[in-house]
Amino acid sequence: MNIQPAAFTHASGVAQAAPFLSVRDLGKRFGRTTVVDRLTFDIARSEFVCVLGPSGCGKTTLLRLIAGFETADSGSIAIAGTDVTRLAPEQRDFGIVFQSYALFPNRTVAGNVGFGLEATKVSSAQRHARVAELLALVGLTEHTAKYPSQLSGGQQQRVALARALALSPGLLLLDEPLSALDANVRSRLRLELLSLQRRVGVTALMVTHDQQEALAVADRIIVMNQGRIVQIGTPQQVFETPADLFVARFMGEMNAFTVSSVDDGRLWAGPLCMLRGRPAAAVPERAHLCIRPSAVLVGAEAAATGRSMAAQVRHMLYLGDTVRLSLAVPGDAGDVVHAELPSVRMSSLPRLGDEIAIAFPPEHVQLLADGG
Amino acid sequence: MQTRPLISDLPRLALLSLAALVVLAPYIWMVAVSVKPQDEVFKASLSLIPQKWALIENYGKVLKTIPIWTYIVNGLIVCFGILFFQILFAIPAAYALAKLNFRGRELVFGFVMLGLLIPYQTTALPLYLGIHQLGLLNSYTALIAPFTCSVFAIFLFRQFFRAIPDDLINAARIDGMGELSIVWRVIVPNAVPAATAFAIFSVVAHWNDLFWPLIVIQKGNLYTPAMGILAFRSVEAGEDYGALMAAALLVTAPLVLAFLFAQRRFIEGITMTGLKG
Repeated sequence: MNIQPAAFTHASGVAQAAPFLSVRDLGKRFGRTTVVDRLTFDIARSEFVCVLGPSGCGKTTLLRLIAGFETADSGSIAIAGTDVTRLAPEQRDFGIVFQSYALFPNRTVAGNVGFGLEATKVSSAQRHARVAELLALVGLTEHTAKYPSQLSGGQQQRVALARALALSPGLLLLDEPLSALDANVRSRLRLELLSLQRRVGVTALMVTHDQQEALAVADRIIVMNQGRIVQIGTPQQVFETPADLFVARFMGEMNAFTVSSVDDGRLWAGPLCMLRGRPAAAVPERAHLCIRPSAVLVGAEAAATGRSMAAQVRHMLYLGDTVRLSLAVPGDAGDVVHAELPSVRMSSLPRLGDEIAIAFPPEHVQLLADGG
Repeated sequence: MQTRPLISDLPRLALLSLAALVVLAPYIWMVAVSVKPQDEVFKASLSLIPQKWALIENYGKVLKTIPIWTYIVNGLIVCFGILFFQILFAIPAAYALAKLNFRGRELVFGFVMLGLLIPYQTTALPLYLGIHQLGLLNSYTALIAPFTCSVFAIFLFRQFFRAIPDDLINAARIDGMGELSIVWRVIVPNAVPAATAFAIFSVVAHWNDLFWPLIVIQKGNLYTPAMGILAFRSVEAGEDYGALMAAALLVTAPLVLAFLFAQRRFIEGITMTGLKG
């Protein structure tokens, strides 16, 4: 079985000290709908954690509960050892970046970043120095006097980031901060965000529905579905050993076949087969054998394993870096396996209808429960 | 915007000019009459340009017989006094109704809506009695106070504030702003377009208002512009339409100027904010 070891494994290099953010049994209902269902997790100081899930899974509500924009129905939230469950947002020591930027349109870039400092006892000279420092940090020094409407989306979001960090909060909350940006800006800003978080050392919690983004920046990923936490782990753990088929599919393409027969230590599912190391372990109801398209061997590599089978090319998608094949495997069930392979490793592209050897390396075949 | 050749724009321009002319015709006629001598006003021939100019005569008569400047200054004090308090009270109220969650909010908003349905003539009598008992008849207070809480302003601002993203207010809240400083520093700067639009409604309504000033004002030195015209007509000018139009022109001129100015600010206000939801 492929169940995560009780979830709360920390990323390597992150200290096992007292958690910085601690969420216990947190629950929230809107009317009769349970949006957040008894969530429990910890985040270590300076850790970058992504909450990942499809829209409507409760991840944004979770963020708003931590921020204090919503009040929890049950459970508790502690930041740096202080219970903040009943505190107002401004008493919780965090900065936040919104998907919609939410910059003050009537204030300049410097005015936006310095806004929170104006309410503190900091002298105006110190404030200007801090604003300049932050704008240098996000690379916007020459835009200090501009208004938000004169900036691009990426620049506006950097202003928002500088503003969120202005009061040196312990916790940085990011609500889909990159979702409104176009693809190129998004991937560049993703890296900037990560390196900024590392330099400042702030603990960060980012909500996103983009698994690539989560895989790229997170120390750990919290995968949510229908208000519950499905899995917590490093990007590698979540991608390579998903808790169930839902997580597996959410993180990327997955070939999955429902287990059809169990005999004498072997599981059979479509073209896939798995040897059971522990025959005594129960097979979950609705279990699937799964393999990532990128783990499927094709052509000579497959033939070399000595356990290959012939499959017919049904569809081919040329994606530049990779080629994705839909392959019909022999049998009455009409099972189709997807394989994805680097195009540079293919001497020539197969044609539709070609017979081609494929093989499934046993170490990449996983048994997964159905999930949500 | 793309510039198009003038020729293809001509039909549009012609149509718009015609519409503008129709709308402006009475005003243009008033300007024309204000510079005509008495005997030319009712002549059968329609002519904008007078044969004999009576500009100095007509306007001179107005300036000589009534303290028109006093009336205009009164009008400015009353209109801007009303506007100032209306905005001062309506913005926080509208903010609370639009963005704060509290028990009974919908009920309060229901009362605001109900207030919209009551014509202000209905409450004139009790208001008059109240002001009389307070001994405030014949004062600026009597002219201004009854209008300082505008349900229309609350409604208008409330609708406008609802479009302001919650995240913007949350961002200010996290930065340690109290609700009053959120209103003052985040909401007000973004409310300029709504405030300008409302100012036009409010100033026009109260500049031209005759009903309420006639009830509470008897002393000539507190006359509003509209009352001034009325007084000029009944007492001084009688049938002298040239002078009457001259007085009307002087009284409406500040409004026209303010309107043109506000129109530019109005468009500026809309383009400046650029709020994205």
